[in-house]
Amino acid sequence: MKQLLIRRLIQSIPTLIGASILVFLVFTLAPGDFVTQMSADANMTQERLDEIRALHGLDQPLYKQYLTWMGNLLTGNFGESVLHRQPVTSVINTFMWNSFLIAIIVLVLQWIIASIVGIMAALRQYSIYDSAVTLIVFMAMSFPSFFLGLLMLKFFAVDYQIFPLGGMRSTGSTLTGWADFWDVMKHLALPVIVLTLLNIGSLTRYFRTNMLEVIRQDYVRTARAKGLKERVVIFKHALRNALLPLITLFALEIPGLFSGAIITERIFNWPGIGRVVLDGIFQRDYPLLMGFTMLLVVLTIVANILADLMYGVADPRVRNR
Amino acid sequence: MSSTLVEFRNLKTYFYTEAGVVQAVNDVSFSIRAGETVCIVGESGCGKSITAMSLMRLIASPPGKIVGGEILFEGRDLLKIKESEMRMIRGNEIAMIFQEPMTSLNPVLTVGDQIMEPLIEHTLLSKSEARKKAIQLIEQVGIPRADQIIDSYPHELSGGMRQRIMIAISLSCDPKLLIADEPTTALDVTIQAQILDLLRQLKKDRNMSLMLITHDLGVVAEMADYVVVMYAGKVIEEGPVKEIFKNPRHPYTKGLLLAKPVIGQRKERLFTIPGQVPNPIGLGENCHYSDRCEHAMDICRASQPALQKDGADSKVACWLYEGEGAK
Amino acid sequence: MSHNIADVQVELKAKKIKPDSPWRSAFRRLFKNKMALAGMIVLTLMFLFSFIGPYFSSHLDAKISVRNANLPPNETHWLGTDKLGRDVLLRTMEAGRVSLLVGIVAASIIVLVGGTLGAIAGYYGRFVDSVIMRLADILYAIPTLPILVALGAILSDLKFPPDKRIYLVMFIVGMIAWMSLSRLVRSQVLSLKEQEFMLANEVLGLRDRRKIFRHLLPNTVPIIIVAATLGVANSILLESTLSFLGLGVVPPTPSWGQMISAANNMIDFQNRPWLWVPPGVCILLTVVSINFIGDGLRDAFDPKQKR
Repeated sequence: MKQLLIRRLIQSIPTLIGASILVFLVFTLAPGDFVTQMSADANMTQERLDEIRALHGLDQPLYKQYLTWMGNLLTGNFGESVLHRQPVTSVINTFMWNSFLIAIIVLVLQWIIASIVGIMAALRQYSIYDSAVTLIVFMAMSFPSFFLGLLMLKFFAVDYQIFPLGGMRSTGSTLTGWADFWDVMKHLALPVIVLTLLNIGSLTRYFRTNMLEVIRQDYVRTARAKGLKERVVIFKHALRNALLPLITLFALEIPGLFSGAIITERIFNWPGIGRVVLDGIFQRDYPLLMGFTMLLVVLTIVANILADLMYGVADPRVRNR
Repeated sequence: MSSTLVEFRNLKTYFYTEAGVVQAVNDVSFSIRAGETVCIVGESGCGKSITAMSLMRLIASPPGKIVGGEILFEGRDLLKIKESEMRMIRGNEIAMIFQEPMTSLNPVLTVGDQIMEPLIEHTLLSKSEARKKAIQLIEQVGIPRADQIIDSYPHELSGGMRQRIMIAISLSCDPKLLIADEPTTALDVTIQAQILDLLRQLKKDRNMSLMLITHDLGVVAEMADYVVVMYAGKVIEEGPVKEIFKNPRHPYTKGLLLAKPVIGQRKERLFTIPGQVPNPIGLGENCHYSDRCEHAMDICRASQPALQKDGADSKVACWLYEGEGAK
Repeated sequence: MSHNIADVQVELKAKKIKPDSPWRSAFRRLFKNKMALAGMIVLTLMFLFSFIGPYFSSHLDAKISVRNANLPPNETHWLGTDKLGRDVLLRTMEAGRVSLLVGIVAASIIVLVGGTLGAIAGYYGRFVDSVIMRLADILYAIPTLPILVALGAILSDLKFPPDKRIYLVMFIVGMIAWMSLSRLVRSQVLSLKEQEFMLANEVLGLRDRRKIFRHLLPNTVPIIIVAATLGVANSILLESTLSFLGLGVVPPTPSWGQMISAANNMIDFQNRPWLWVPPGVCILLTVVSINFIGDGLRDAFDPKQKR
């Protein structure tokens, strides 16, 4: 197990370096940086612009810029956000937890609902329930996120005014304690519903497919031939095996907890990291974008390793190797 | 003569597929007596396994369905009892082992766990008692170091060991009938003999009945007391093993025996039965073997012969012998 | 073991009796799948709507007119008009052309790049394999949406002529999504390579190119077809997202996502749903249909996996 961990960690280094070069190039070679944006300002002289460029190291050759940037990243210095005039880390820290709040609720809801619905559909294969689930699952997988968000917003917030129009708290809210919590919950409801609906499709399908696959296996027949209760056959013998591949899927959802939802946060005006990133894109806040992207790259790589490890712990065939 | 343990009466199990209805088991009747080994013989797809799965009531539905007949177990029709009652019989009074030891054990549970399960389900043993019994069972099926093996996972064991574990599971509740569906087909030849020896020994010690499904006539000769030959979902011949080997009646049975190589008799070519098993969908009213039969007569292509007594304990379904039994 | 020989003979003969090629039986299964069939019908209608539909519109030659702006649905304009007085129904049709085209071209890029790289990686193994798969790993590690949006924004800075931007959108969407197909093709090629008929080719001394193109790739066609189908759906979604954010297809070229971006205006969003609901419904219908077809294809090609 330890060997596996070390091997995977070493393997991930080139991936990390490759990704960092790619991210660096995309943003550095992009025509126009924030200084170009500033030059629209009439008060800016060319001298002043050059000065700012030099200050940010933009006059250095490319590889030097990369090394400086990478060196800073390794020491935890993600640079300064142009838009927020704050260190990138503190910008991310401020907004990420708002995104995390939504994401963690969605994650829990999504796994609970998808497991129940998916397993039931598998056990009632070919029934009307199963067909209905399949249809809904496909709808959910095919909805453009922004369109679903807009429809929900129009219906629940504009037309029926059940939920607020957006934001995280009511405007000018001075509520504290439970009242504040309740206020946030009301604002949270729509984005949570939308994201859960969007994510639930493929997960339900995974549960259904895996369960169907497992139910056909010889060892499930053996379990039935032993005279075990159907409940034991399904939950002890089948489900355990069906869950194995899903462990990987679960681990891979971890970066999503921190990445924010660009589209949904924008539509519901949720002050999360996704919206900050989108603003950063429009304002060419490259330090923020690069820092954030690299953070996600690291999280993704870590999640991949975690997935392998978790799978190893859960599957005796891998565990003892 | 010992009492009848299981009796199949006109069992019909059909599969409803997209391409049509498969009459996998079509009007099958035979019985298994207490303490007897009955071999069900036939080519793959002739309905042997489906007959056994029907007895266990483990036919996947859909697409399969038992559409008619009775299966009497100690006089009780298993097709009429409730699922919960059937569950008390499975693994308890009737146990089954399968062809593929590699996939028949659950990969994420220890073998001990899997042996203890039926014990805990069907007997009043506590967990620690069940564990002791499991270790005994592992020893009984001839695996050394049982106290270590009990905590291992299936993938750590060889195919032969796994099949022994399967046998241990099936014997855990002292069943009256053990169904073994091609238990040795997937194993190496040397292991095959060991497993068969084990089964024979255990059967003798426990005086249980054994329903052995195989397409290997060598196995039949070794193990069987009584033989049932199936073809395209029907029983075409049955009788005591000596009768079948010495005096086969049905042309198909004769063909099967001829196709078996005999040591010391090298021939230029081994005999093969011409043609192939008919498409199981839309079988007609003819004798299903008539296309391949060298003795086929007009009547064979027009209607099916019934399974009739021919000799003291034997039955055969063939127009060649029609009327002879009455003689 | 005579029965085994007999079994093989039986199988061989059984195949002769049913001269049904795997392709034909796959298509038979596809057409029996109700959802896939419904998907094909809806998708065909969607294509007709987008490519033929405009010719039946009476507003084809209509000029921009502010007097007709923002009309709700009525007898002459079934889906109303937008802020420039253009007929929304006609606009939705024309946008469909763009969206469908982007989807198809992007999916072709996915197939071309992903299929080729996957086959090469799987066939040559060793160094080539590690380079390609490492590249795929790297692209996998970078989050799709942020990088896609960032690329879209960078494009805007390139001062690309608006009517040519659509090609760039196709390109980015395609280049960002080829990895999963390349992994699938690679593993398929790897397992095919182990099979006996490839060994036979080795013995026969066939050339690499011939082995890859005549023997390996045809066997990966089912995977590729399924991936391409789902790739179209996915690309349409990605394009619409980009365009919704104003970073994909930009006016005057219409696309469904770009039409929905009207909802970014609070008044249009709240009071003029006819501007953004029809294109949204079109995306949904198209993508659902394609997903049904893709799923049907997967089942049809791989009946063992049948659910």
